[in-house]
Order: sequence, then structure tokens, then C-alpha cells
Amino acid sequence: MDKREFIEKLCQKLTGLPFLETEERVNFYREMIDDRIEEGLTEEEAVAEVGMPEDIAAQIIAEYKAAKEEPVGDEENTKTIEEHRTPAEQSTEKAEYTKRKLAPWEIVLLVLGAPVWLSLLLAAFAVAISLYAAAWSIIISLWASAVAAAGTAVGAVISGIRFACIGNFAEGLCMLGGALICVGLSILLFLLSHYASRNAVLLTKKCALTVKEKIAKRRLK
Amino acid sequence: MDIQMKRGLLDVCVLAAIKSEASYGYQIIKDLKPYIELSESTLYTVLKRLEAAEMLSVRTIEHGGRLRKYYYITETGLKRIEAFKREWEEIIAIYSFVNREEAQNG
Repeated sequence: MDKREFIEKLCQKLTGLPFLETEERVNFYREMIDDRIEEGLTEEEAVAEVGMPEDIAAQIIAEYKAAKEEPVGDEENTKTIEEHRTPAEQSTEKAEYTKRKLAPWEIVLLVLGAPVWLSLLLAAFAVAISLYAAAWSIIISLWASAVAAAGTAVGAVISGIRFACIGNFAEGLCMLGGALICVGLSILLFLLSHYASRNAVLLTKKCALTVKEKIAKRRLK
Repeated sequence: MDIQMKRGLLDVCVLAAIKSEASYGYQIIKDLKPYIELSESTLYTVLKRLEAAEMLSVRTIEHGGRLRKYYYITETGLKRIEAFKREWEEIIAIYSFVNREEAQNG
């Protein structure tokens, strides 16, 4: 079984679970497999070492159900955790909890203040999006210049040969030199744009993951 | 072993594995292998529990073109290890007491 197959099966077996829960679990196993591959195991071996997706899914679902159905066991657990916390920490947690229930005057304030905070929020959002778009346009322009340099190189080679055929060796040599410069330039630009886009994609993934986890945590509170 | 006790031991083992420097899932499993056999799903549960208790914090870091989660111990986590050591001293004292009784009988 390869990694894709393993993950597909695991996802399929976990369909009953909340989306975020499933995704986090699957990402955890993906990382486990990738780390084993990095250590020198083949994909098949790595997957086999992690286990059968059916067994893993059954275990996860059992754990999930136990956590939901047995609040007694969970309470015991949180109690032991609570013991290690200072009273101050506990009270801030309580404060965070009550924050969710809004007082009537707060709601009124929120509604009245909407023209201000809503537009500010929208503006911040727009700025973020435009910054993101700008970053990607730089990357796109990098790719474009790489392609352009490669095109110029091809053109210069052709015209260099044509000059040489006519008999203008000096011009032909000059053109070929230009072509070589363009080839070098385009290789550099290709490498650069590849590096930039890979990092941009990774950064996007990371941001998306952070935002998602923040939302999930807030919901759990 | 008693489930409650094993749970506590697992928590402290994972905390100890990230104590000196931050670590990631597979590394933690490898580090603990000689002492305690830990399956992936058990580790996941332990990590979640410790994160909820704010004994560790999680950071996603790029590694070799993919993302990897690193676990960092917090002040609360360090305190937990210290508390465990103290608890264990008591248990060792009790153990030696129990053992002495048996030695006398035998």
C-alpha cells in the first residue's frame, strides 16, 4: 500500500468525525510516514510500520466515542491537570469562558459601532489580500522573465547562426555570446522563481493551518 | 499496569522527550522506544492532552519541502516533570518499605 492509498482509506473510514478532527489526525499520520521515508524506508515499508488504516481508524473512533460518552473519565483527567495549575490560571480560563456570552449593552455597542469596526476589518482584510496578490505577482513576473530570457536565448542563437551563414562572423559570435548570457540568466531566474513559488505555497499552507487551528480552538473553548 | 498510572507515566515520558530541545512526533517515538512502546495514536492522544493542559506548545515548521509539527515544553510542563520526580521519591520510599516487610517474612 502506498501513502496515498493509506491516507484515502483512513479519510474514508473517519467520515463520521468532525472535519477538523479528521484532518488533524490524517496530517499527523502523513507526517509519521514522511519521517520514516526520510529515514530511508520505502513508502510501502513506512506505511506498513505505521499500521493498517482500518485498525487505526477503529482505534481513533473508539477513542473519540470514549471521550464523548464518558465525561466521568474526562473529568478525572482534567482534575489532575487542574491540580497543577495556579488559581490565577484557572480564573483567567473562566474569564475567557464567560467572554463568549455578550451582555446586552455590548451587543448594542457592537451594532452601533459596526460602521467603524466593520469597515476597519474589511480594510485589514483587503490589505492582507492585496499583499498576498502582490507577492504572487512578483513570483509570476519572475517566471515570465525566466521564460523571456529563455526565448531571447533561442532567438539570439538563430540570428547568430544566420549572421554566420551570411558571413558576418563577428556579429554571429556576438549574438551567440548574448545567447549564452541569456541562457545563464534564464536558468538563474527559473531557479529563483521555483524557490519563491515553493516557499509561497508552503507559507500559504502554514498560514491556513494556523488560522484553522485557531478557529478550532476557539470553538472548543 | 494501572491505566491511570500508565497515562501519567506516558505524559511525563513525552514531556521528558521534549525537555532539552523541541522534538517532533516520529523522533519522540524513537526516543521513547527503549523505555516504553508508544503507538502513533497513543502519542497523538498524549500530545493533545498535554497541549490542552498547556504543558507543551505546538509550532508548525517547514522541513524539507513539507510541514512538520514541533512540540515545545512550557513552564507548566517543566513543573509537571518536577512534580513527577517528587511523587516518585515518595513511591520509592513506599516500595522499599513494602520490600523490607517481604524480606523479613521470607
